[in-house]
Amino acid sequence: MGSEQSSRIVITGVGASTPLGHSFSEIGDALQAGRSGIDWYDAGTFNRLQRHAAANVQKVLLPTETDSLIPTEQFEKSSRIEQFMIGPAAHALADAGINPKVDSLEQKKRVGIIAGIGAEQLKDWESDFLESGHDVFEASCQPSLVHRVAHMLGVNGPATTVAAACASSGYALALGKTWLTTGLVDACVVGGCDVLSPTALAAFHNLRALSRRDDDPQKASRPFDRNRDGFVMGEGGVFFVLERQRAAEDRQCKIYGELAGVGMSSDASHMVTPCSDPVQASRAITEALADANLSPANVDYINAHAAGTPVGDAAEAGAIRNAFGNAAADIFVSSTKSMSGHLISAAAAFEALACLIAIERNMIPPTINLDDPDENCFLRHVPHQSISSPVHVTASNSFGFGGSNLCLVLKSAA
Amino acid sequence: MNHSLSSSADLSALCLVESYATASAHSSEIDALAREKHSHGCHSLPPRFLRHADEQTVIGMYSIIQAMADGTQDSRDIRNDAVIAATCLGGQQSAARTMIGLRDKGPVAVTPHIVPQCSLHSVASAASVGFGMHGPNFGVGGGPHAPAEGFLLALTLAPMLAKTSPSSRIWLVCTGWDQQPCLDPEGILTNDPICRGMTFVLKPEMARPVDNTHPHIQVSSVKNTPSPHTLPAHGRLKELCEQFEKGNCTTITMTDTCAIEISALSSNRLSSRTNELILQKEAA
Repeated sequence: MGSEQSSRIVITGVGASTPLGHSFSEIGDALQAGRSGIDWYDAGTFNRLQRHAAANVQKVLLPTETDSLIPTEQFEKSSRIEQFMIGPAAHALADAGINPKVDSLEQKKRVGIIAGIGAEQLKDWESDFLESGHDVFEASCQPSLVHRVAHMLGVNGPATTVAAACASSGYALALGKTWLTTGLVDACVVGGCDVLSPTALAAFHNLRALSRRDDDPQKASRPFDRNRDGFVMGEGGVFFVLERQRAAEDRQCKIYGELAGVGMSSDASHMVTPCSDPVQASRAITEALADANLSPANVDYINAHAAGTPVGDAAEAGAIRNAFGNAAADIFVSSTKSMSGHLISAAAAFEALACLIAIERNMIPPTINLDDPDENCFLRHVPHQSISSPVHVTASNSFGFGGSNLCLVLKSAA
Repeated sequence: MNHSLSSSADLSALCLVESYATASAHSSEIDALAREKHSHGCHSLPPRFLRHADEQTVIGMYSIIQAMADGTQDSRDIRNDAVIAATCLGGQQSAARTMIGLRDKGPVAVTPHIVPQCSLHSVASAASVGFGMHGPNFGVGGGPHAPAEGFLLALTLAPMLAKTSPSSRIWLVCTGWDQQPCLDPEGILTNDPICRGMTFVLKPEMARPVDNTHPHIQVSSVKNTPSPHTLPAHGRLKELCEQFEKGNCTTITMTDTCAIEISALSSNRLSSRTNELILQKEAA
């Protein structure tokens, strides 16, 4: 038991700034109530004031608990994407009771950080260009965001950015787990962030990946529904602190859950279009369950990637049925993107957070707007309203452009 | 509450280097390179696969072909291999053109290709899709620390891959510019910088001790690193390639305590290839 406990990786800190709230409880309340964080969003003058349904965060907050980690003035001066990393990462560390600036010296603790961000440079250049800057014409080789934030927070261990499109922050969790199991670090800040941007909105719109419904923005994100027509972009940042269970128990800190298993694969099919063959996506799910030493029947809830695209949702439903076999008929499945929108690089981390909330509250969040389930997406859906049900084990799928597939298995630490 | 924390053992993963190759080309040569047939043995890219690709993707794919061509990878099954791409400031020219179009003509001018072709994971995805690799694929870095982060994450992925797919390899592709492109306000290139790519084919090796005469990479403690050839984590890809070409054992310092050790690549148990279009051109 001792060695098993020391090799288990648990989540001891959570920080988030999302369209559904800025704390574990606030986001939990929104998910439980089936509340949408989506509204009309003006894409700006360069986009000719094109109006999109989007999940926007009005103001990125810096929780007061983080005072010792980052001065408010420094936070206020930071760019929006920096704020989406600094705020949640600092909050997660404070929540875990870790201050790297102190602990690394006094306790010889090694803290690492892995951030999932798909196109950081593009966002930096764009934000500068919108303010008449010239960075994109004469780019300089500055340290990337994760290194700047690591320096601000006093993180002394390795720092890196990973990208796998919409699965980016899930890869951060998966790789952070290995940093801990192999002993490279004692604690690891993992997660991801993304911002709404004119270029991304225009590019996804022109790709016909975004919903074009123009009636009610809160009805636009409708995963698994027969009338789905694309996803709704969102923004936000979600970060966690991972630790080995033994260390967390020694510190008597709150344990939100265990990151029990990870599985990864690639479709190797197309740079954009999801693969209709479920073999590789279901392989990621199967590998995650094997990594967690669990069988399909052990899973109580699946948080689907389902973004609301016609091809992607049906492909995922097939992958779930393929991986879970007969057990799929009994496992609750929902897509929280119906409420949060698609947080792109931060999506997988947000959905891991939704799983932790489901575990803590024994509650299955709903897929809102699921009025008419598509028969090609046949699963045990939870339409419109959350339901109460025991939740010990969850699986969270994330699939990205370029065919990156990822599944995280999160379970209660008890 | 007791917030004391404890340390534990060092990372023990290690990867053997099966193949190593570099490639480089001037920016002005990349378009022609993208139109070339990229193939070796049974591995080849679909026709016109790179027509929308970023410059770093083109040179990265070319370095992969060079690594395939060294003789060890000819007929090996790569279907379950993983690919990690460490790129530095990729997509700059496409980004500039896209933003100028957005400003002047509005959202209709934004190409959808900017998303899949100019993101941090683009090189990894192109390799996975192009060559049919079904192992994990992801991008890493984005800034000057990219090659160092690429080596670290290859060693991070190694134990995971060894567990799920023991015969698989990791293709680590590092790309970057020797000097960053300079563009005029219309997005036209005003210099002709060199774009560089480097590919390592790595075999996860979990059993210790290993044969030290075989080229390998591993995480080590800074105080134990024997190499006089130490580079900082933000060292340029060009400098790293130069160390490897000289056959030096090289150390990259990641943090105050952690380093990546890359043994000499000149061993006769490893064949490596360098294909510098620039040199070929000068010789011609």
